[in-house]
Amino acid sequence: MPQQQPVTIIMIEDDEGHARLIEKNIRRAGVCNEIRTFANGTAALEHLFSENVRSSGPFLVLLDLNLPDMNGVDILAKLKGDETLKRAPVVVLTTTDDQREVKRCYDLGANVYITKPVEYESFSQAIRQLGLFLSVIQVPETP
Amino acid sequence: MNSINFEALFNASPNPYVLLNPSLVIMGMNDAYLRATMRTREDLLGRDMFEAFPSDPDSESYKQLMASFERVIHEKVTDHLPLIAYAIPLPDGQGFEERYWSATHTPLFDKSGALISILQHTVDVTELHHLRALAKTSALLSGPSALIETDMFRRAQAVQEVNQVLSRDRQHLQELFEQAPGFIAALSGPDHVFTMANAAYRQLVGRADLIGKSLSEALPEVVEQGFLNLLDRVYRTGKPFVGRGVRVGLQQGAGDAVEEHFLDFVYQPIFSRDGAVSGIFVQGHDVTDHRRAENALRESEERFRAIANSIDQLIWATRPDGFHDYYNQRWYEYTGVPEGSTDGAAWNGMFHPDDREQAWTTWRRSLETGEPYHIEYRLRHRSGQFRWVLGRAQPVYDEEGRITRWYGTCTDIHDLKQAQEELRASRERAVQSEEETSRLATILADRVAELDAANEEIQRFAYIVSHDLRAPLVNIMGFTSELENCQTEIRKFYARVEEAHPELIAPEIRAVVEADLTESIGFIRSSTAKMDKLINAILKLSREGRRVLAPEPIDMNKLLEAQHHSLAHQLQERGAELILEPVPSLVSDRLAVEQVFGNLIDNAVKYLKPGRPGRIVVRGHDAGPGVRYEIEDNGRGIDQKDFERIFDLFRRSGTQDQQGEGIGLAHVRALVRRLGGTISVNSRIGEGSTFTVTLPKHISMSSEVA
Repeated sequence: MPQQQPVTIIMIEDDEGHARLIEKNIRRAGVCNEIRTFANGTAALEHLFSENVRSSGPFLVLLDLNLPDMNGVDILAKLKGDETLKRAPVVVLTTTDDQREVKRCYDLGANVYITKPVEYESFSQAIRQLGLFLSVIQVPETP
Repeated sequence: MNSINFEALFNASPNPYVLLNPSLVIMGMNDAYLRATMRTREDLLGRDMFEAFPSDPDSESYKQLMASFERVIHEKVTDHLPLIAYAIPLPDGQGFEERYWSATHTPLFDKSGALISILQHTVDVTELHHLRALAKTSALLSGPSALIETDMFRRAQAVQEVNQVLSRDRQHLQELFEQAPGFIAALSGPDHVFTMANAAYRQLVGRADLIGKSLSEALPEVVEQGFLNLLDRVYRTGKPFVGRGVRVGLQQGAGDAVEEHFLDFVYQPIFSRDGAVSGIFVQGHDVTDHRRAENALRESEERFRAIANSIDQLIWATRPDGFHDYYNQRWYEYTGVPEGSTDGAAWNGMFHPDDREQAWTTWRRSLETGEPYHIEYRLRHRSGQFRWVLGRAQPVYDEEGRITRWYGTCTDIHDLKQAQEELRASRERAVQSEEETSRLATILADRVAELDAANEEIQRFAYIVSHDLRAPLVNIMGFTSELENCQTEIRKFYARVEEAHPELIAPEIRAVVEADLTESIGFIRSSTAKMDKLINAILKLSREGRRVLAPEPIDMNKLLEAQHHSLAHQLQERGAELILEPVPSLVSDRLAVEQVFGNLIDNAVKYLKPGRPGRIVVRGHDAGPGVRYEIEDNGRGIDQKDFERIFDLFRRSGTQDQQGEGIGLAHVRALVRRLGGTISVNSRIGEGSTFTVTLPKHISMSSEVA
């Protein structure tokens, strides 16, 4: 997929299986962008907020809410609170579809909220939609 | 017969006369009087006697003359003044000349007997007096004539001196009588004419003009009261009458009401020299006040007795030394003992043995100190029962501050005391029960809080568990799909190998590729699918627990009708009917109520007995603060041992021939409990089941855990 400015996908997911499945499905959907995977929130934030990375977007963040070291919602809030990083779209991936949690994430600026389905078919479908989504969104340029 | 000219005779008389009216104003005199007094007619006429012939009111002369006039005026009798020294003024104002007189005062009456004037006949005896004085000092005058003259004069003087003494005594007596505190009067003759009445008497009868009047004239009101008869009897018999506390009605003034008096008096006959009764001496005391006080006292005593005997209290009285000498009727009625049997100190025996000493001590202390007696004790009632009584007594003092009597009362306070006791006990019980209730409430509140916390914990736990269980499941499912993808590739490759080199395909390989792999993946998939459903169920329950209830008025008939509608297809398919009876409505959480009834009716439809037309009835009744709903079916029924179990999560009952995870009833029970209600089941295998749901009419948000 031709892209003038390649979007770097930042995946924050502690479950290696999930991370692998997501990556596989993204790839299968035809998305070739670089995917950087972090198994915890601390490492991910450290990376994103490091001076050279912060301004080297654009980024797309795939965020799992259940992380061992911190709540994904906190990470979302931090990202959306940063002048530069707030432009990065955030796709929230969780195992539940708790409506209160969904609402909270959208309130904080999440762009997409995806429930990780157990049914593989629907999960693949979701990931493919994500790939489609990734291909159509216009990520604003970093000034 | 020639008429006599009395005036000429009067004037010609050698004896001096002067005529006075009762006010002692000079009305006329004869020439002899003018000569004797050396005055002119004009000078004297119309003037007061004592003004015309002034005299010191304190002098003996004045007193003598005045007393004589008063006697005539008041007693209407002639009075003699044998010798009186009375100075008369000299004509030409050259001072007074000492003169001695002998005078006679005669009352003159009109036809009705009223005194109209007093005639004074006076003789100047100055010469005689001088002669006598001379005879006393000179022996020259010792002749018989002089002797006779002086002797006569001496007699006159002696008479006058006796008169004077008598007059003084009389005056003295009169004053005594007048001032006597008792009433005194003298009555004269058979008609009882007043000749004397002292101030007390005048005050008693309320009038002053008594003298000279008969009793019936002066006091007409007493005639009919028998006093005239009494006086007549005393006058007739000469025997005195003594009256004690005799009642008499007297009119103090004309037109006044008759006033009642009580008198102690004596009618004492007065005898003349010949032994006949000439009058009656009356003297006595007005004892009205005393009598009234006596009457009042008697009445008061009677009243006290009447009151004491009529009031519902036991009353007693004692002497100053504490000797009981009076009990009212009520005491004897109450105690049932014979009258008089508790006099003296016997009262103490009427008390409960345990109270006697205390009562005795207290009573003795009151007697010694005069402090009011106040004690509660048990008194023996005529029934034999000892009843609680409040005893009180007060001393009564005389003017010197000595105790004259003790008056006491006993009040039955048994019922009161028992009521108090019961009240106290019941209050204690109430306090205890209140404490107990409050203690239980505290425990309950603690337990509720603990339960709430535990519930919250369980919900959180369920939520987290479902999350965490789901995460590996996602992997299992995901990688199973990956395996299927692999299997597809393997099959393609296997097909090519089989085509190119069939000898390479061993039977074990064939089994693996064609059957085992598919079978394994199939089991993994079905198991994970089932696990996913269970996890979702847990999630649903935990989420339901977290949902905030929204109370609203719910028309239950409409709600059930809507559910009937949505089940129409299923009912028709199974040949069942749903009968909805009119039911009471609620204020509750609509979603929760819908789920409860939806699940229960759904279950009823689901578990009908094959081969028997299904009949499901929903009914409801008012049940005080709540509504009791029943969902009755004629389905296959539930074994009694499963009545509780069916409400547990993932537990089911009977033949597992219907779709389900064992979540429905667990969910229903969780909902019903959250709504503040209860659910139970009654059933017989093969006959049908009845689920009973009781829900509060108004959901209580206080029990709500957010």
